[in-house]
Amino acid sequence: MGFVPPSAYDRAITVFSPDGRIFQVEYAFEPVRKGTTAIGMACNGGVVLAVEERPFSVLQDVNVPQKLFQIDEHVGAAVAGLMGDARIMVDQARIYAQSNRLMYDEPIGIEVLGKRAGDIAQLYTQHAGVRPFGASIIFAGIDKTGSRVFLSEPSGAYWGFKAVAIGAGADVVKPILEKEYREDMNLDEAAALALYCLSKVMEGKLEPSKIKMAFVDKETKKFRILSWEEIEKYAKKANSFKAADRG
Amino acid sequence: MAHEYPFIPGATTVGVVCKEGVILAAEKRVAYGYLVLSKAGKKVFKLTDKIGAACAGMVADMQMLAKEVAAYASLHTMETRRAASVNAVAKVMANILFERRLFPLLTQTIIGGVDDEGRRIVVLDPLGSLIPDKYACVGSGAEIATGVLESSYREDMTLEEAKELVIRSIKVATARDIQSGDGADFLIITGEGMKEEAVELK
Repeated sequence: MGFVPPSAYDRAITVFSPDGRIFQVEYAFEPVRKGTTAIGMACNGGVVLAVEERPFSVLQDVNVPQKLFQIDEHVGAAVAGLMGDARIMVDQARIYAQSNRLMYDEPIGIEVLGKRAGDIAQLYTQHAGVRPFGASIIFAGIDKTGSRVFLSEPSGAYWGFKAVAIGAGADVVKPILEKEYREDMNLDEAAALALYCLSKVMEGKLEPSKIKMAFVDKETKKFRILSWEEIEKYAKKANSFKAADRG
Repeated sequence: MAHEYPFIPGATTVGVVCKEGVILAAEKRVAYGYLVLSKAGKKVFKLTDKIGAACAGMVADMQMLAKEVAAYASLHTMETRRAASVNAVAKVMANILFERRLFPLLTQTIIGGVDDEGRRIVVLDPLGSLIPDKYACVGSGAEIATGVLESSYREDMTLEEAKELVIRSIKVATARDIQSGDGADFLIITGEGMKEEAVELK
């Protein structure tokens, strides 16, 4: 790649290029594209979140999930991109979730969370002197409408998904999900599929330091981070996808 | 009591849950002490398509409160893409009332309606206490009206039976409470929607 001289439209985020683009916002997607893979899936049994983590030191405490967060009793989030930016979003989402309970005496809707995160991100695309969020965040949980997954992006856009992947492995994972995803999966099947997807984009074998997973079960409607023993169990089932895999 | 707070109008306001829905009703008299200021005061309010409120107390306070709650309910409905629940709407009102704890809105309210979880009414006092119930009365005529409901209310009443009972309870209250009278406004809410009715008390 040769050197591309910066154009005038590169600098201030509040300036459109003549063809209607805002470059800084587009660049904010880069840390997401380069980030670790995160997957969110909604199915009949509930929702699954699965993330890849890359500890940078053997001394790191890998029992602490870095990219998987509980937002409220019934909803979790997985992130990709700049972790500092993502955490701010997670903190705000947690506050929104609690204020929804205070205001309406009800657990917050998953779409509402996705939209609110989008609202915050959008503010940082329209003001001078700020930079956009360098993170995308997947909200997955169960609300009155059922199992829901939403993705909020640095541009402020948010989308509803049955299954979605972000991060460096997204391009590999998406076609697998498109082929293998079924709405009538139970949580075991969905977990196995998520692990199979992650195994396709990760270096080396699956190990506790590299994978974190969480469920929101349709029965309990409670967010729960899985133990490594559980993840291992699902990893064995992930082989069934491998058998069907022709690629 | 009229003599204790001559600046707060009395009322007889009733809410009941029945088999097919919810009935909210309030008589129409607005009295300042011994003066009947109006015979056409409206003390029932629509909050959403299937949730209403019936109030007693200061008319200005109930009007502003109902408008504000209706606004929040409408925003909530658009944001969540689904009809607001009775409990959520009642909670919004409780918050507004509790915020003004030291300078309260002088209203008692019965919120009622139909949502995904069924038919329900909730009673709120001026500070925002939130009390779910099957039937309730507020206002200066509440003691009298409650006596009628207490003896005759059944959960499995039809809409017609419930309406008759509510009319009877308000009639009895207006006969003995000087601050209540001049006909009644009804909000009848079922799964199909909301119907407003005016009833003459003869």
